[in-house]
Amino acid sequence: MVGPRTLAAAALVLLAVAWHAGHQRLVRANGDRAEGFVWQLPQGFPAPRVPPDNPMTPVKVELGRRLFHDPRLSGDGTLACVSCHDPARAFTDGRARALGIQDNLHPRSAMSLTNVAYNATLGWDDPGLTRLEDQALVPLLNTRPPEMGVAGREDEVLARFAGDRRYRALFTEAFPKDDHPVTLRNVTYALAAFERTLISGNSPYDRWAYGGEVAALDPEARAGARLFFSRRLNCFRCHAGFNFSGPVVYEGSAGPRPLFHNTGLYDEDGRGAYPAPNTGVHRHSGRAADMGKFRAPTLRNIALTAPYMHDGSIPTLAAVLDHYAAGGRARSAGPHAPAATDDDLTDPLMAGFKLTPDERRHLVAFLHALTDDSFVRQAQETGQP
Amino acid sequence: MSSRLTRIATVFVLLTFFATAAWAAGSSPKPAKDKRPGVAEYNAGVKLMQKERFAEAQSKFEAALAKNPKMAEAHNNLGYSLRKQGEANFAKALEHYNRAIDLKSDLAEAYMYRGVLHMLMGNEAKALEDHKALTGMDRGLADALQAAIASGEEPDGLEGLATAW
Repeated sequence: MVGPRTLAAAALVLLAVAWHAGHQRLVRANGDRAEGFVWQLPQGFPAPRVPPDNPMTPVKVELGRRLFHDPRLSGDGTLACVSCHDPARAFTDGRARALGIQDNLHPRSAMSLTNVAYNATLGWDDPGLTRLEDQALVPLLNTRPPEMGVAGREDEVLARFAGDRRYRALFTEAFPKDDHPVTLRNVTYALAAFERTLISGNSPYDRWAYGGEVAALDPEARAGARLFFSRRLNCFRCHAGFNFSGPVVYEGSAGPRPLFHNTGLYDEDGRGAYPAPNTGVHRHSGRAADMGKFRAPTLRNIALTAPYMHDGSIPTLAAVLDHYAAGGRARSAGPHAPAATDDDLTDPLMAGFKLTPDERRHLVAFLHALTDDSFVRQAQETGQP
Repeated sequence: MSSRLTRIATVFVLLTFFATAAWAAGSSPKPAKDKRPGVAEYNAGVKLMQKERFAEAQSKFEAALAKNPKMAEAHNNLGYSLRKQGEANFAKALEHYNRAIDLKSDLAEAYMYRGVLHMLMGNEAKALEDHKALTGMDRGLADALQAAIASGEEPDGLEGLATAW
């Protein structure tokens, strides 16, 4: 028989448990709290999606920013992330193909980091690479060819930061639950947090589209926008949405389907082969149908990122337009040209189109109107360690 | 003999029971008809709109609004049905989009349709205002409206159709 006192005591215990459960402080998986970080988003932009295990904090972003600019992060201390991702070039390097330590030439060009937080996949052609935290390991540890040359020298590289008083303090503050916070994992997490802040949305186009400045686009750029979004050219089908890119993710968005396109840039064998090792998604999947498929990068700040395409094989924006107008360079000028226009590999959207010289000029003016000078300026100003 | 009859009867009863259960499981009951005022007319209008029979859709949405004048979605779809019947209806279509937004300020579809109409009427600044409002409501519609305003071309299909009510 349970007496009234016992019942009352049990009720009090239950109430206490319920009160405690209802007032728990939310703590992230790794013990960090995302307090204190405020996104500074351009008008019309959604908040980037942040992995639950790597919440944004100001100190982590600051640590990532310093690491990004610090050549001590490479094996031989000669290259920093910024060496290939220069803010003045919208975080690219101006080369057709990136250059790693000891002048190792990478098969592909350094990608822009403009709005990288929104990319559904990272890199030119890897459907499985979806987290900046994982992507950061690629240049650090790649050995074919070496990029930053950290593989095999991890302890040596980390010791440089563990031995630096300022870095030690930043790592400790950014990862307060870790007894030994100077780890490769935390390096990549801090880099990812910094990269998520590289948000660009203050171009003339944005001031027109979101800022209420109808005159922000000059007449040539406005005419180019008309062409870019037209059914005749269909540029916006692949360079889509607010980011002028392939699929995006952001806070609250559905998980998008990764999307890659073969634009008919090469046809090495009359059957659409791309030159190895740059065979696109095929490089990862081995599937013949994935030959030559690459991600559509953002066109934001595209005027600053020449030369173009995954291997930097097209020098100017005007020449890029010629490639698309031809329905793919390989169809008009490749060794097997004129190629059939109904092959299985080239994206059906690569139907080709005719451009007058005026239209070509207007499109280039529009692409220039996607340049965000304030983004570049601010990135340069805050770039110094 | 009687035990055999009993067995046959038992099997018959069991078969009848399971057959009835299987029939019941395989034939989902029809959803109850929504008897709220104007809903039947509204749903009929949506079907006609999807078949691009805009004049008939207009009649249905008008009938829905006669029964329920506060049906924002019907105002939105009526506006579209009117607009698709020609430029002479643009002003009236705009009134209905405005009414839809007055009634339901977060009806993303109405901003989409009104933005397209503003674009077609040459009011780029107003179209961009609707685009701006839409970015906080429905990213997909906002992108479609962005493309429409920038290109000056109507979106494909019925993007902006309000179906749920």
